[in-house]
Amino acid sequence: MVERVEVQKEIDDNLEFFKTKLSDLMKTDRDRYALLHRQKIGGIFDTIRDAQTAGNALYGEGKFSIQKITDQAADLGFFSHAHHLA
Amino acid sequence: MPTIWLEHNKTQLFLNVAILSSADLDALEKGVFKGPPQMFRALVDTGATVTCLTASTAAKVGLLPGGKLRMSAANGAAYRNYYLFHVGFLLKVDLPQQDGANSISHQWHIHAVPALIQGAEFNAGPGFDVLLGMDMISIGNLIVGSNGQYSWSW
Repeated sequence: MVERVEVQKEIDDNLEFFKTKLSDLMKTDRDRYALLHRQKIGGIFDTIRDAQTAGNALYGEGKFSIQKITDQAADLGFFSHAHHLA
Repeated sequence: MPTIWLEHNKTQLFLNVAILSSADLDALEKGVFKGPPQMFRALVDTGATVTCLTASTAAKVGLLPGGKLRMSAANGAAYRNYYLFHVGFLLKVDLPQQDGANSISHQWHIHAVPALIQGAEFNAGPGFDVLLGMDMISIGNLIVGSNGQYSWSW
């Protein structure tokens, strides 16, 4: 059983790495999904389900993260304007 | 076509939903799910592009974050944890009586929508834990009636 704190560290570290690669990935793989493990790209997939399946098979549950290759932010309508997220 | 019928208050649409992992969905489909699932109060919000849930909701059903989503907020855009899950709805099924009587009995069961939802963590408003956004709404047919009822079918 993977610990929640380890999962969060993997996600946070991978996100920082992903941000540095995002502009390059946007040129070739916009709207696809990057599978990330230990701050490396393990693959690029068309669907998040495919990325999840590959991540579970390659690294095991909770030992990878998936980031969508996009520069768009999700909009929560009312919540976007009325609430602070953090 | 599975359909739920509910009442609205002419200002907002609320309902109770189950949050299910892929393993839960698999167990439901095989008839081995150890239920009943926990139900959470949800707000249907056509203004939201994505579905959201609170961190405590995710923890209660054993979900781990899968990455982060960039979200717009009043204080700018920020990355938030997201979770991968399925949404289940409580469906009333009519059962004809075994003895041939005209009366109909009912059975409740969970209808889990197969689509995998990438739901972001958020700080919920009062009275609900889940926000069902357009990623979920656009999967089915949501009809809001002037008679105070609404239906949702998949």
